[in-house]
Amino acid sequence: MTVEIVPPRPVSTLGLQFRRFRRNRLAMASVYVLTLIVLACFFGPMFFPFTGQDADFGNISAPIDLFSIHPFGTDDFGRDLLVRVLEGGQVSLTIGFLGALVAGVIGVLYGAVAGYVGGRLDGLMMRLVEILYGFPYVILVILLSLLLGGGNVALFAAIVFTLWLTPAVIVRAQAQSLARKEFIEAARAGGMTHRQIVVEHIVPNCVSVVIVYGSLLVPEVILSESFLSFLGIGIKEPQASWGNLIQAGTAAMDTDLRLLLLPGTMLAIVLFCLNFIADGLRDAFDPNDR
Amino acid sequence: MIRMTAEPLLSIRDLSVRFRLPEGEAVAVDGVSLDLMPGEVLGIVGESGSGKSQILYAMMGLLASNGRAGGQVRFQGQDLLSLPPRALDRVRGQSLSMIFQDPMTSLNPFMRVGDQLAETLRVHQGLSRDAAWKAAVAMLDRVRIPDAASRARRYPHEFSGGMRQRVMIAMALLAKPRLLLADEPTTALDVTIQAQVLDLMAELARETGTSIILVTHDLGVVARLCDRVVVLYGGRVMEEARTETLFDNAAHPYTRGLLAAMPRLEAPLTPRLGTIPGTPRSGGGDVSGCPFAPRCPDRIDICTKARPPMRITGEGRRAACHLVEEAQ
Amino acid sequence: MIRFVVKRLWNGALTLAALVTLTFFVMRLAPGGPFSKNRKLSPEVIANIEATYHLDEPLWMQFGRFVWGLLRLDLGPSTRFRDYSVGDIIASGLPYSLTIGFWAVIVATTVGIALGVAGALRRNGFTDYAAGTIGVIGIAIPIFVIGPVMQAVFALKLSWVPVGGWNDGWRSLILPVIVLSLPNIAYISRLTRTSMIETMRENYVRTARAKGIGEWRTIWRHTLKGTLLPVIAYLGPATAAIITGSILIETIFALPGIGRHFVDAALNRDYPLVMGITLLYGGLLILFNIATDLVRAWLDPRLRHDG
Repeated sequence: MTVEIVPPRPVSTLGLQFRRFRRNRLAMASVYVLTLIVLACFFGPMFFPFTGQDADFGNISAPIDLFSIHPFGTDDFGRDLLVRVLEGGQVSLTIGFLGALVAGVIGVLYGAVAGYVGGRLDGLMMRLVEILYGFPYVILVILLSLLLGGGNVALFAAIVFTLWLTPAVIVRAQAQSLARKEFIEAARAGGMTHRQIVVEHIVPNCVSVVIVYGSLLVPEVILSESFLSFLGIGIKEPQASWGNLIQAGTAAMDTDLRLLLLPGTMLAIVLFCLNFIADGLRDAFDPNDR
Repeated sequence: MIRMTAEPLLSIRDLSVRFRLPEGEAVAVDGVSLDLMPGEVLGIVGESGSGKSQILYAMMGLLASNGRAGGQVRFQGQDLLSLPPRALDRVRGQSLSMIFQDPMTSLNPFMRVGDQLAETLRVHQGLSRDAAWKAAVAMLDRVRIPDAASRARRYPHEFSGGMRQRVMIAMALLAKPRLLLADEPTTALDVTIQAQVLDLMAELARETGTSIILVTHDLGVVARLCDRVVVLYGGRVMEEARTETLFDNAAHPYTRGLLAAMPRLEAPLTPRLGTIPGTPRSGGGDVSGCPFAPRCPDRIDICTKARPPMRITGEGRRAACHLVEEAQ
Repeated sequence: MIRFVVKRLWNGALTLAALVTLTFFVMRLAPGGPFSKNRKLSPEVIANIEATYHLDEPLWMQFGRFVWGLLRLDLGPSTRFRDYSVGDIIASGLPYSLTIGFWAVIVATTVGIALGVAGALRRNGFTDYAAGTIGVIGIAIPIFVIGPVMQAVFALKLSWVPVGGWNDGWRSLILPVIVLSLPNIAYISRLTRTSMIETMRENYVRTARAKGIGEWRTIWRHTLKGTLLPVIAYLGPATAAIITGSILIETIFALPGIGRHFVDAALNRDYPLVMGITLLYGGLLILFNIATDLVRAWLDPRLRHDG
């Protein structure tokens, strides 16, 4: 046997990593399924002549009948289950992706500054992170959403506020090792300001780490939101979210398991997909990890 | 092959090491044969990737999980390659032991140094805890660890690199093995203490009558310690000779290239060191010709087409090169 | 070693101090509580309330009073159950929560480590795949989905175990403990597996093999410590996860633990109770983190000196 060594075409690391990701079947399948669910949640309800909050008193607790106007039936108020689950998905997914994005951006900037500047500022910034880390994070979310007066915005802020810590710590470590590299030295010698260096060198070089951990943030945010809504602290009826739909499902568990299984399955599928995607990204970006 | 009257301690026949890789199969060692006499110090020299370390790993049963060894390694009447794990464990650490390249990571960070030494004796010779500990301390003393009795109670991170390699040497020679395999034992050490550590290893081995196979890329180390040298390139033996012969009169163009690239004190006026053009071949598949041909300054047509046969060129000398004449 | 312990304790004390301060200010600032001024009351009533709760004192004195109360474990009365003090309520709920939490930690660590080690030793074998599947399920399906589903199947349909409550002795514990430990079994088995595979690649394990001491001794004496260190480091966060989970578990299975009180208190804006339980959780967590660090230092001689 002979090993042919073909000189590879020059590709950017990022390009190479995405190519590696695309070869991961499970992760790619998850991307498709997730896209499908996102599309269904945001466009699906348009095809129905009613919203998830409209009660159809002629069809209370209608059973599953795929060819009727209520394919998955209705709940005990006569509200269409499928539409409610899809609308709940809109809320959960929006909070999930937006929350991860905001938390990620805050964390990256905080971590990049702390890691690059170092010294006393770094010590102070990281001590704060350490203290916040000391709290069980759900408790912190509950405290914060109480403090902010409840409601969707408070919930969102509370979740973001508790989840920026992990990206901050990771990016700080990365920035710290980068700050000692020669090309940063060169940039400094070349007259770049600190701000330029952080924005143009430190942050871009943290991209792959951030993508990997950012992808783990999305399921975490979705989980927090549904967790709180399940407990009745987050999104409140009549607005639907997967968390409060599942809660309503548990209440009606002994009469109608559908109410629990439908939103529960949706949430589980989305979390599965997001976890597989995160795993795939990690393998593609950091092949030494396993 | 080399004919000698005494029975060799070790005889390797046609050893090959192959690795399964996602891109195919890589051959690290390709048909290597060699003999080692009791008490002898043999050097295996080659560039990085020449497969020299893999020979040792194959003998010790320590190849990476995707590696396979073929051929025969006869040691004390047994073929090491075909021994079941339990039987191999009776040989390893007892009559055959090994020193690794990186002393910083080769000792268990969670175990007292003395315990790591004593473990070998307790398992192989069934010594009591006390007796094994005493023997371990005595051995640490012999590798000149100052205040060995209290140092034995310390953990590896409390030792310097040179000290750790001495501990490794102590551990390897503790059971008075017949053969010691040393894989670049001083490469990771500070230059100033390399000679010290090597001399210590050789001295102790002489005292216990242990043979050594020393794998290195450093010809200076070879000149200092070895009786005989095997030069490896691309997983194959290029040349074998007694050390003095090799340094005075190398037969193979590759060996001559290596020697030219070696700095010498006695030639202060050399304007620059020689280099071998091209990049070293490593881990490729089978090649039809001589693996060194692409970089060889004396290349002729046949070199890229036919594999050069191993020719015996004198007493204890052999070389694999089309340009070398067989001795009569 | 002593320096290490002192440093950990100091850090723990600092976190606790931050927690106490934060708690105090959240209580002062939170809207809708007994201290808010948005209700229309006569000045006398307000003055009366302020005097009762010492709101007429300067802030630092109020804070001092709060800390002094804490030191005597006196968190004042619950605003919802006026006859009970926060301490009473916590004391009544704590045994239930601790029992469930204790068993969940035991189950999660033993099962998790066993699965992880088995997977690492026989990579791509049956156990490895089984453990991998449990891992994915445990991480991706949240407690509040799997809990009710198991409740529906094993309690409602099959009647093997009670649906909830605390009236059937150890049988009431089975479902809550399984559901609560599941995510942690998943994390711990994954962590153990990766850590063990990494450790087995370490040079010092190769050295141990070269000593011919046998496969079992190599694993037992030379790979286990390296494998378990990251797992032990996870036990701090695992405690947090168990606390978080117990809030859900106690709600789902209608158990009278402090997690359930916490949710009720949060929903009813019973701030003293919320703060009391927060402090308890925070304190527990700090304690666990210190304990974890100490165990790690005991296992890893390198940590004792760098500390």
